[in-house]
Amino acid sequence: MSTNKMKMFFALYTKDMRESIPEITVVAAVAVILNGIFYLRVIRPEAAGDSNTQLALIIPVLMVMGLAVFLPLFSSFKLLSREWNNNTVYFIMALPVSGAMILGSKLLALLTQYVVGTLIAGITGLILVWNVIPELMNLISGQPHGFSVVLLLYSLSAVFLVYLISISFFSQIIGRLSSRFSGLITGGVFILTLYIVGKINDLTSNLNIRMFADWYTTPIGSLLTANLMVLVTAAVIFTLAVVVYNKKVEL
Amino acid sequence: MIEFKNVSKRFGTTVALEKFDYKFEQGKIIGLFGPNGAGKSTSIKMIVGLNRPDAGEVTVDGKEPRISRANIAYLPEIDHLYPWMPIKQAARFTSTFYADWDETKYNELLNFLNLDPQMKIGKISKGQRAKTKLLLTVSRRAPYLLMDEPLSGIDILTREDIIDAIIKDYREGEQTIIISTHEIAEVERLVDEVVFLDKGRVKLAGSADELRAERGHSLVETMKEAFRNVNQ
Repeated sequence: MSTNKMKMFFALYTKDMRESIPEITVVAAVAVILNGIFYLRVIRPEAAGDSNTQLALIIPVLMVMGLAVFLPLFSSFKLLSREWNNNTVYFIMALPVSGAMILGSKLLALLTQYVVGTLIAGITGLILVWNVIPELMNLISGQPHGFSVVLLLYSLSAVFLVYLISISFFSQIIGRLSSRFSGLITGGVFILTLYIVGKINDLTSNLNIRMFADWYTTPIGSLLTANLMVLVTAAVIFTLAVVVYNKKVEL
Repeated sequence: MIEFKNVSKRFGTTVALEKFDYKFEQGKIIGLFGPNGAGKSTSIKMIVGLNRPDAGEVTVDGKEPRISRANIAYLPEIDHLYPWMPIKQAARFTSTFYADWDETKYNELLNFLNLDPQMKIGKISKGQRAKTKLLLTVSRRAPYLLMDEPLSGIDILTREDIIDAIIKDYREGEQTIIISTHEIAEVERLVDEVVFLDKGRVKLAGSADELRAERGHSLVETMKEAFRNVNQ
């Protein structure tokens, strides 16, 4: 029987996706129920043209979007720690694959969960907004680079999630190096890493603004730079997590 | 060949292995025996690369264990399979990672062990889970087969099935099997060589036949004798 790295990665990814189904279902259910309730309330004839009612639409859209954005981060803790809690870590650590593949497949599964979740939240939200405030869509499309900015903001949120998941993996793996107070260590490392990276980011941001002042003044330029910076930071932390997993984790 | 060179390992203040020095020869069935805490599981985990020595070195065919994982089939004592997977899916998942997966052998063993491929691992009995673990491990034609307490907590009939399954496809001279167990009587007829571990050191080792002939009794009695003498 032949094996190849792509097949192995896909097998791991499929397994991790299977474990993400409950979260995707939750987002889809909440999106449909919450947006549905608001839609039915807003389309009543007596609510038509009421600006307060229209403004209230932002509540379900933001709630569902927030759920879709943050659920993958919480899932990142569940997805990795479950391997230890269910002893399946004995299975995956004995496989002839590196930590990059194990953690990479989980990262991709969580990113897929994010994309699917935000798509569901986005589509149901758009249907709601489109029907009730059609002028909002015209407002966005009327802005110069309106959709490019929206796309770059979306990609920034995805990259930021990758960054947070990388810190989550890194802190959990550091926590697993100790047989005692693993959860406490994980929490401590997570907060400390966020703090340190935040400080480094402040320094480099100021430097970047001075070096590329012209570039920074355009929304597209500043968003592209932010995407790149967060992505590089996430890659460094993810690599650190993989190195510690490969070299230090024991059962 | 698997080689331990002066390997020491501690977990906190507990000594798991202390200057463990041994060569597991190719093509034999080797029993790794000893009381609880003797270092049997740690030794096996080191061969798979799940534990690392504090001092000394473990090599598999002269290479670091992590690099040799594709040649090692490992059966841990605990239930390590995904409970939501049916047996068929677990087999398909496992087969993706190993070029030595033998589909014919898998199907034969599935029948031999009387397992239904549609059964979900989390919903079957302990004995069936033990059989499933064995099925997924032995369905490979791996040069090294490592089994940590494969009979632990299993009823007598299932034990016989498991032992028969191990014997069924063993390729003498080609495959190396290391079995760590307390159930010496059950596996006595299987093993060519034995290593008795005590507090992380080799207490007694050698050919099973020679030890039986030399001491005039079974390996169970040999172990009792060896460990009684230690404790007195």
